[in-house]
Amino acid sequence: MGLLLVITVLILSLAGCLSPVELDANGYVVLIGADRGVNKKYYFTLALQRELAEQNTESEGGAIALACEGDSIFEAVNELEGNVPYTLNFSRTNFIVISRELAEEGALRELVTTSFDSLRVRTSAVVLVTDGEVSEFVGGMYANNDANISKLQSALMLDEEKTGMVSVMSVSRLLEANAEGRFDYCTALGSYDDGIITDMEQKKTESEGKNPLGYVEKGDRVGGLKSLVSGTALFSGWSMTGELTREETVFLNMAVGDFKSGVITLEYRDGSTVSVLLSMGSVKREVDFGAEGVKAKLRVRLYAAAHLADEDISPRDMDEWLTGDLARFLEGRLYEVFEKCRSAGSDAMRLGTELSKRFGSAEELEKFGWREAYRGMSAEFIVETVNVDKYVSERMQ
Amino acid sequence: MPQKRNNRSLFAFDEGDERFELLETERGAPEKQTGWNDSHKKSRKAGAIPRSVNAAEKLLRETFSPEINPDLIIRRFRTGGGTEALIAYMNGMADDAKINEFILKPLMLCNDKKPDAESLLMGVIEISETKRETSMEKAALDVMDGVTALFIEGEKECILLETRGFEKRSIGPAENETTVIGPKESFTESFRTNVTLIRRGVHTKDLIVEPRPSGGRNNTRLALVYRKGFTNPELLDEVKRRLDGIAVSDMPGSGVLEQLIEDCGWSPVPQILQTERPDRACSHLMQGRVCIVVEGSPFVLLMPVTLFSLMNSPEDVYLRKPLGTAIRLIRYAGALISVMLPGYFLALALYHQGVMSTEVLSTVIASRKMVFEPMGAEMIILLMIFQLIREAGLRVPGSIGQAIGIIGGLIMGQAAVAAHLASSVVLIVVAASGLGNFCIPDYSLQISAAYMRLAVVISAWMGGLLGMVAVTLTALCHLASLKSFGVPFLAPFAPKTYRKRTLVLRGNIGMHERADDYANTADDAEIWEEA
Amino acid sequence: MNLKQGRIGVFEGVCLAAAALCVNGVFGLDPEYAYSKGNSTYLSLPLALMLALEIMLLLIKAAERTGSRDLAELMTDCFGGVLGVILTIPVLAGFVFCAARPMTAFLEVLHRLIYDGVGYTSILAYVIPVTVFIAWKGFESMGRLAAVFAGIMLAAFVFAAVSAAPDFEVYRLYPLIGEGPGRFAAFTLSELVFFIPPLLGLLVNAKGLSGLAFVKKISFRAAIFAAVICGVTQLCVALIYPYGILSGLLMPLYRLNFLNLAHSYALRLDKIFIMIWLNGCIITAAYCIYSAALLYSKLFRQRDVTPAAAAFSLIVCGTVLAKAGKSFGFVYTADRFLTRYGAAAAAFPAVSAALVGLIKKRKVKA
Repeated sequence: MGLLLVITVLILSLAGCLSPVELDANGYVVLIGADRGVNKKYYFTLALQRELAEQNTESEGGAIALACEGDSIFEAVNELEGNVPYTLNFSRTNFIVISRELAEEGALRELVTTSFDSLRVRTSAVVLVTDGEVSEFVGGMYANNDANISKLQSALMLDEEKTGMVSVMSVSRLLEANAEGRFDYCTALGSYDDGIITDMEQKKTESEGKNPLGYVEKGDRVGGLKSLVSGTALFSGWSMTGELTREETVFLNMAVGDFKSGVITLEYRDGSTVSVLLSMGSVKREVDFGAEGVKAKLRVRLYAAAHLADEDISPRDMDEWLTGDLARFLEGRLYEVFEKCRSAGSDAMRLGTELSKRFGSAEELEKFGWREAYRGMSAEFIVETVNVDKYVSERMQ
Repeated sequence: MPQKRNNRSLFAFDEGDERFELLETERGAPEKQTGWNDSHKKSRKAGAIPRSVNAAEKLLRETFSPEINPDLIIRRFRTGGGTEALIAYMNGMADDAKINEFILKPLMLCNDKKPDAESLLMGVIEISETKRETSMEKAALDVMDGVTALFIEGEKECILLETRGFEKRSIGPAENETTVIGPKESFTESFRTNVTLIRRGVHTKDLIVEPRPSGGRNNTRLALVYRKGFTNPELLDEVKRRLDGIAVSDMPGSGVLEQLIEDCGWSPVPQILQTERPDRACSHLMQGRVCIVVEGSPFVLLMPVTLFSLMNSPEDVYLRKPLGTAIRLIRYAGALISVMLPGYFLALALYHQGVMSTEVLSTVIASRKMVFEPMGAEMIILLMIFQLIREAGLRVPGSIGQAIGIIGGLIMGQAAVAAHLASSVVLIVVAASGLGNFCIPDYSLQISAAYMRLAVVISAWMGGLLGMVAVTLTALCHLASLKSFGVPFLAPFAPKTYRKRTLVLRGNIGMHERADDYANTADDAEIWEEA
Repeated sequence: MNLKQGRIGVFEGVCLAAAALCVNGVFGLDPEYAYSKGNSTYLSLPLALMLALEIMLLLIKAAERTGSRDLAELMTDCFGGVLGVILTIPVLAGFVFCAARPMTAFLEVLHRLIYDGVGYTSILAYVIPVTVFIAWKGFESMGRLAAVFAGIMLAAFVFAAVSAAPDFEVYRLYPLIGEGPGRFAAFTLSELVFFIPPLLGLLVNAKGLSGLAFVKKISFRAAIFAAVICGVTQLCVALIYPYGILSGLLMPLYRLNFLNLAHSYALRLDKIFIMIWLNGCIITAAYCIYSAALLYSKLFRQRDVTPAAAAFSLIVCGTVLAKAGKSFGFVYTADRFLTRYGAAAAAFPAVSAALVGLIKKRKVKA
């Protein structure tokens, strides 16, 4: 037995350590940003988690931003590592922000496919496209003095998941969309909002006697990812080909089934405005193809509740409006969004996933050529709205 | 025998059953023994009791050298009828008052002209426990043990009278296996007291206290305690065979005996349970296990044991089911934390940082800002210091021991963090692991868990989670191959056996109707017969 | 309770065989081959397992008929000394394959995704000594070890699957049986190479399992259990990644939680899970090495199985290194060939022995 133990210890000793790295020898990159470079192909911005001891200082929150130009991310990382006293570790990277310009050129393909496994970035990381400078957007994301970036990121995502008002997808889905071609990728389109005040600005405005957001005492950002997002970037394959507004994004999510709940404000019959609280019921999608092309039929069921500010509107009228006019309005909007996606050549509504169920073999599916068929596709949207208040009042009676 | 087992046994697992010392392949029952030792057998003829008192005195003087060994008291006297007689006993071991009042006085007043052993025992001597002995060797051994030997002129046998009266420690509360609820008694160094404590707990007719030779030249008294007809006879024979195989110069107590009869001597894990609690011993006896009581040792040995029986505490059954279950779960969690937590933390910190959340990462980095040694070394140093404090606390008297714990744990820890010798996070991990270690009820298992923890830490430092896998799998493979008197150490889980009792959770007391299946008691035999 | 040395009970036997079957079925697959033209592994793997079980049951029947106590005896009883030994060579190769294939997959994952820049040899130096130690410790320890880890491995899988469940999408399963019936059948048959050797291992160790009756019981239970686990695992994977992604993915089960952003610690346990499953891989390798060594020892009447175990360990180690490091092109080609057509070689001795045994006149041995 002793002999066996000695042999084991010897073998392990010969194998040696598997290159341990001390925790503080790493800099943990929580976000990668990519802009068009001036001298080189890309301008990378990396946001690193600032360690606790440094966070008491007057700084831009819990992040350290590193920036560097490079023809690839490896070159930039190499350059940066030479200038910082730690190794960059990407295992906690949760966001990848890319400028609109690069997204339209299809740069994501290079960035995502070549770097992910090598840098050990998890493919669950989220891609955001931003108007304007990425570095500015990144700064805005963390400029609220929040010590815990991870929690901030988590809060941003949680907000998105809860409401379904923003469309965000991970790198996994991007890879899936491009490997399979059953649908097209779309993700949040960010924009840096000057209205969002930072701690520094808060102090400045307070000293000047004006507070742009009076109810915000400490100057922290209110809200989640929505406040940083202006809409949705539509992709066709690897390239960004169009965009949706923030309002249109809600309809896109309704068609996909990702929408949870939200408020839309509409004009009532008499010209007054009504706020309607919508929450998702179900989505049924049918896509079929025949001699006349591909046809899609989407049945969306939503629950609606309206705030009756005007006492003249009777509950019966409102019920009729909610289940009739509102449903038709939503159908129209859904179709508009579909048209917009189709004109961008982007199957952001993921109708191709339904169509793939119609094929008997992988070869047939691959031969079909979904992208061509999608361009000539017709769609029908049937919305059913259920007045939630009606049931409530009935029950009360 | 285990200690003589050939090293090749490891490399011969496919050889025939005869290579293994098994319960199933035993070579018949072991030799029958009748007393504490068998040394008298070799010289029985030479040591026969002489008929003459003078010759007996001469033999005693030759044996004990009273001229230089004043402990032996030889008292010659005449009975009331004028017959020569002699008593011999050890000063301090026997009760003088008892000898004077109930042996010497009645004998001196006895007017029988020609008294023999029979008549004296029947009508004169006022001692309850007596024995007639024809072997001088055995008589001498009993005299050394506090018995008084009475030699009568013309008698070919002597009378051994129970007069033991040496000083002994009184029964006190258990020091190592303390419980809040439950009996407060513990075993003492007195053999007789220990047997009495067991008998008080097991009121069954089948309880046997069988004296066996210990194998030590110091003739330590030792007895097997078991339930005849209930305990697996093959297990009993195996225990006896292992006891018979012992030949050592000195048998100081149960700790040494344990090493001499256990299955795997080099294993860090105990394969025999040492307990100081009579209630625990009784409970195990009722489960069909064998107990060995050793003179001079406040611990008794119980066998066979499994990992799960070592992890049980007597308190589990004294508490109600939900509470007992909760405590047991905490204990297992504590044991797991004790062994795995430092290594796991180190593996994540050095190799798999992505698993840790950013909050933890930044907290640990901040706490290690000025610490000079690598985290692996820091962890090992802190673990060693923890062991030092623990050892120091154990070896010094009670109140000072407590002070050492406080100084070591609180003041040194705080000072080490302040002086940047250790980081607060690693200190917390080590402290949690140390606390978890104390949850393990068995002392030997505690120590093995502490050293296993060190192995896990080193492997995690070397190879991260992969290193941990290598070490834990090797250790578990060892545990899986380990046996305690033929019973697999991981039973009743691996191998899975029939059991009504829950393993980790404490089930209903009603489930305790049958003994554990692996004990192969008479109950099992009945069940098999019925089947 | 039976306390006989060197023997294990039904529970341990089922755990050991099921672990070996599951590890081979889940981690041994060649993704390039398995998912290139659609994914129906969640159906084909259970089907292949049932086929392998059928072959095994035939073999047991043949062994009962010829009075053979284990596979070595059955082979010599059916084919005689020389032919028996020759026909046993593919079986031995099958054991080596089933030990090496999953280990290679784990080695690749450890090398490429978990340990940055660490060589294959260094990683293998942590894995092989433990494998050899378990193989040397024998069947009893191995069985118990499998029993200890079975629950943990299952719990890790259930946790991974449940946490990934919100991302399951049914459309990813389509086109159902995307390969078409012909390729589906061929693929199902090719998967026999992963399942026949672990089941044959039970027959090799028939004495350790207390006889053929228990081997039959254990084979049946293990195969059913493994069919469920393999099927469910592959279904979970198929619900997360469509075939187009899977064909280029290294160990998809490892990436079950990679679809959506996982902030919480619990959802980032993939590295821990891979280590838990690695335990299963090591036990499987030890089981295959031990079975091969025991079969060899019995055929060549060796009393001590350890030299053969050491030799087979070396072969497995060499194969894994050569395959993982891609240092020898022929090993890579052989591996590709075996994953596609190895089933024929694995099934041939077993099926022929079963047939000969069933045709032969009934014999009763003393």
